[in-house]
Amino acid sequence: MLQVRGLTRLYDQLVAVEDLSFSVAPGEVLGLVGPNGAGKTTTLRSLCGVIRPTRGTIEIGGVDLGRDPVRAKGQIAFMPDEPHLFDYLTVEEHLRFTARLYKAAGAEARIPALLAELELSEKASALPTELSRGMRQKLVIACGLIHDPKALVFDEPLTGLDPAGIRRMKQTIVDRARQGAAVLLSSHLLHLVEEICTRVLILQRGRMVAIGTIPEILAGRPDLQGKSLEDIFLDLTGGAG
Amino acid sequence: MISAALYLSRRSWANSLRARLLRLRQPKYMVAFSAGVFYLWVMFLRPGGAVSALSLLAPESRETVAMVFLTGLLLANWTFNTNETPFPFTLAETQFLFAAPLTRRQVLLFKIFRSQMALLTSAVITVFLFRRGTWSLATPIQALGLWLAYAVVNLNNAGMGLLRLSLAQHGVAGLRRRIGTLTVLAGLVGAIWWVGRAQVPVIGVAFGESWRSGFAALSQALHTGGGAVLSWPLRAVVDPFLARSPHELVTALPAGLLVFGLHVWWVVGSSIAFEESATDHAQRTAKRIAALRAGRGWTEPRGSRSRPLTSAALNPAGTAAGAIVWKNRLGIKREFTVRSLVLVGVATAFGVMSLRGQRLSTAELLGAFLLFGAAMVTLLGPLALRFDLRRDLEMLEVLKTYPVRGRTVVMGEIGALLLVLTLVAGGLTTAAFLLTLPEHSLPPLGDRFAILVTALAGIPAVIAVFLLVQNTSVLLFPAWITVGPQRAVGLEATGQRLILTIGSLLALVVALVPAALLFVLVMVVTEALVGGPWSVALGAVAGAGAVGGECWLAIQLLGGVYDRMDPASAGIPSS
Repeated sequence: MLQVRGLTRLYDQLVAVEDLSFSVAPGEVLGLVGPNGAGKTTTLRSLCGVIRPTRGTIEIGGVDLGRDPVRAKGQIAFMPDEPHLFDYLTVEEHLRFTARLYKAAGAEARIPALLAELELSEKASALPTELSRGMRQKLVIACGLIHDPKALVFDEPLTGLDPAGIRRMKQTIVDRARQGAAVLLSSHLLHLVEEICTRVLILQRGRMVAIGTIPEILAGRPDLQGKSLEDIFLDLTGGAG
Repeated sequence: MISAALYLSRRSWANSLRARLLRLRQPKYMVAFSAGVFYLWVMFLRPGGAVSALSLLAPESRETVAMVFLTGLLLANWTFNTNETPFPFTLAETQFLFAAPLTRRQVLLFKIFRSQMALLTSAVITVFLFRRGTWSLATPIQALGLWLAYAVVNLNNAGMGLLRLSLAQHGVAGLRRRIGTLTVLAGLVGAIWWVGRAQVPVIGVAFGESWRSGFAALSQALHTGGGAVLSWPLRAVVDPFLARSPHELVTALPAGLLVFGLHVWWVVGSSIAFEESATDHAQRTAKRIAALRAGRGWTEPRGSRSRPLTSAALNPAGTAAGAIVWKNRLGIKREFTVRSLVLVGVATAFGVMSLRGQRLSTAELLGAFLLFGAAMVTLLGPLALRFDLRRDLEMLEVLKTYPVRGRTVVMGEIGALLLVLTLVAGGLTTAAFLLTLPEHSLPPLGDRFAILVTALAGIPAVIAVFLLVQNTSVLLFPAWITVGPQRAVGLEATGQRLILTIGSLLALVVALVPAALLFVLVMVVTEALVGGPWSVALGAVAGAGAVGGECWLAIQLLGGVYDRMDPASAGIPSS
């Protein structure tokens, strides 16, 4: 569903991401981890068409993002860690607006269900300034789900959520993957990655240092057998983080 | 405490200067900096430029003028100042100082001391600029005097703010707590009334004779008898600024410093809990700055009590451009306040007042009012309302994730304001036409209808060109208009604004040239066929058509720019 080949992004002389290749299949949850400045956010923003790669190709559902960005973007949803919302649109209006931009079929019926799923029904006519950070985050997720995307990209999805919200968010991510979506999740919360991701990609200084399930990664490093993802991560990234 | 304030001021200044100097390595900042220096030189430092109004006055009159000005400033502060807090702390100051093991008095001293550094810098720069860059013995004397005046006004404002806060926090109990301040104020008011009851009629009569004699009477009242006693604090504050020699300064300074010291004692002696209001204010200010840095105006968030205005729900099926138009139209509707309407009304009324010499019927006067309003909406609306890319570019990271082509985004962004402003200005013009239908003193009805057609064709064309120029600037120079944490301030910012204004005006002229040529051509060709007013109307329709074509072309080009735009390279803050 998500296919990345040779992704490279330079900022002047700075190499943010270098020759990164990976894929995420339908139903899979790939965890993207790495220390600060490893290139995670650049990777996510490239995948969603926010920034253009310096080199490399990205395919979403078989559509080349560089060649046909409109069709490719229509199949993906990006949920950033910092909820950016339009100050003057209410919760429900955000969903209607997003549905129209994504040409989401059957959105009229999906809106109440999504509001209920993310516990926003009572806030349907509230402006973002009246919402807590957690609720704003939920609204971003709701907007991302309105067009039933085939690929979902989450950047620190649990930021600002209360314990109940965290449990529901994890369930939402797992449910979407079970329904056949390809999920890419970036987080510093290694226990979250360990809990819900089927594979892990570890980035450091823009380069991939490991990818696979935890047993697959350990197979290449017998010295790390029996250790937690946190220990593996710190070892592979030289303790940075 | 003072050493900590000094350290903070010194390091903040040094780091800020270093950051600005480093930024000058980028050509765009260097060019803007050069433009800013040029502007400063032309406006303030060029030899032979304008001289300050105060220096034109006779020395004995300067003191009176300065005292009157200071009184007006203090009265305005007392009457109209509704600041949320007496001390505008920054968010960082609230986080570090309020949590530190410091007494309230120490925090206040810290703040007062830091303020003095900023006020002194401001005074030095002001004096340097207004002395047109010349440096003499009078420069530091004037700067010191101006700092004293700034400081007293600043402290007076803070003291009155504390008084207001005390009354707001404690009600009647607040009156008891502030009994000292209130007694002094009441005594002052009583004394002014006592002295003024004899002097004011005399001054009034003198002003009735001439400005000169009125001013002389006022000056005498302020310098003799009870007036001299009451105005002593004012004189003490302005005299150091008006000093022309070290001797005059040394003579005037003790009294000024005494007034300053009394103000410090008054403010620091306060036991009002200002922390909550200061923190609240700091948070609002931080949001306001973030909004301004993002290139949009600041509006207070609506509380839960005021529900957002309802609007027709957007049908999820339809065009993407239509959705963006709907979104921005909703924004305009929700942020257009009654105050905006009153401001437009007042400005329009002033415009209509220029017609007061004419003998106009009520309908004609109302028609003129509506036409002035339409003109203001057409010419100022595209600049004042920023519900297009000027506002939405801060959401570029979100917009770029949408499966929508750049040209569609640009069309939708410009479309909303074009639609709303055209409807309002066109509606006002049409209303003026209908209102004056029965008026026989005006040109014939056919001619008036031709003028209406001209206006209805011209209004959207003018608005579209204005909006296009504004949005082109945003897309081509996003870091200069939609600014993130690296926002240029100081001379670069002045230079950027200067360059952008000149560029926008040039673009406006260039954009209007094809339309104007077509307008003239059609008008000349059709004049013999349909006569004066209708040839103008046909020319306007043709010109509007040309603008429409230009807009279509520009939207295609700008769409490409948007598609290639990278938030990081464009200097737009990332999420």
